[in-house]
Amino acid sequence: MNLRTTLALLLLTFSCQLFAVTNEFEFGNRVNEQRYLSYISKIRCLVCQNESLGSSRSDLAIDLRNEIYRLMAQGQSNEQIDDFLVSRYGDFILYQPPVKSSTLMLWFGPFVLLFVLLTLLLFRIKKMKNQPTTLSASEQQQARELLNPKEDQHD
Amino acid sequence: MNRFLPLVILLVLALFLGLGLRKDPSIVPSPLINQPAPSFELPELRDVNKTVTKETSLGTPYLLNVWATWCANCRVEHPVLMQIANDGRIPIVGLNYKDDRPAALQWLTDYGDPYRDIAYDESGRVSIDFGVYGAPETFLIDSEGNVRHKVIGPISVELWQETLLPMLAEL
Repeated sequence: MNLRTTLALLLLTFSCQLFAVTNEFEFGNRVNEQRYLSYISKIRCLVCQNESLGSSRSDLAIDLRNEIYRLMAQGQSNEQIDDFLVSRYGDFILYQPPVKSSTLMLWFGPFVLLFVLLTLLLFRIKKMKNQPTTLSASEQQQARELLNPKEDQHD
Repeated sequence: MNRFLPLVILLVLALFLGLGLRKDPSIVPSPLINQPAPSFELPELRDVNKTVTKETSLGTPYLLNVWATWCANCRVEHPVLMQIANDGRIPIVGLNYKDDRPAALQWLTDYGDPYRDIAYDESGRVSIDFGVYGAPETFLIDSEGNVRHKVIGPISVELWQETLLPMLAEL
């Protein structure tokens, strides 16, 4: 297979995948295709949870895509459609959960942890810097003993 | 203290991961709990001339059971539903989800019919309002029409006796 054929096949393969979703509906003035495609990629398919609503082939995903298309055609905003989905299926259906008391840990926990660890690290560095760099007389003595052990200390 | 810090961090992490392991991610909690059940109006499966609405069932608590003939776990659940129906403590209303009417009627003839009413949701639109994402699912709805509990997956005899019956006693 020469390069041109390979390239053509590759392009065909990818174009099919794009069509798989977009040809369900007609896009035009009423519903913007880009908006629709980006929206359904941010919604979780609850049947196959690791797939977005946009990429899932489950029956429920098809029904929900229909519903989302219908709501967009009615002129509803993304936030209104979020509310529609969340009031029925819960926050889990959104890949990006809303900021509220039960999700505070999720949103800010990592930053809090980072702050705590950075503070600890800074303290430690400061402590190391404050340590005297010269040895006291007794420490010098101790170091000498360690480096040059006397014969009589050994058996 | 500093020596044990990594150990403490590890233990906390292990605790959270352990808790995570015990959760079943396929069970998504319903936001409808303690909320009014959605209104609906659907044809009755067995009697085309009748309609089933939310108002049909107001006044007594009931189970709203989402089922379909294409759903294997509904077959598993069916004998338990028959048992609950025969027990007579709570009526069961069916929500037949995206099914084929003749097949659904045949199912009832073959395996028995535990339902007081059956709403026929051919398009699945009403089921979306209930946040249904699979079958079977069962809602416990009180006499004022509020959702009190949701069971995702088949009701087992144990679940009926240990969870639903005590909840029913409190309604």
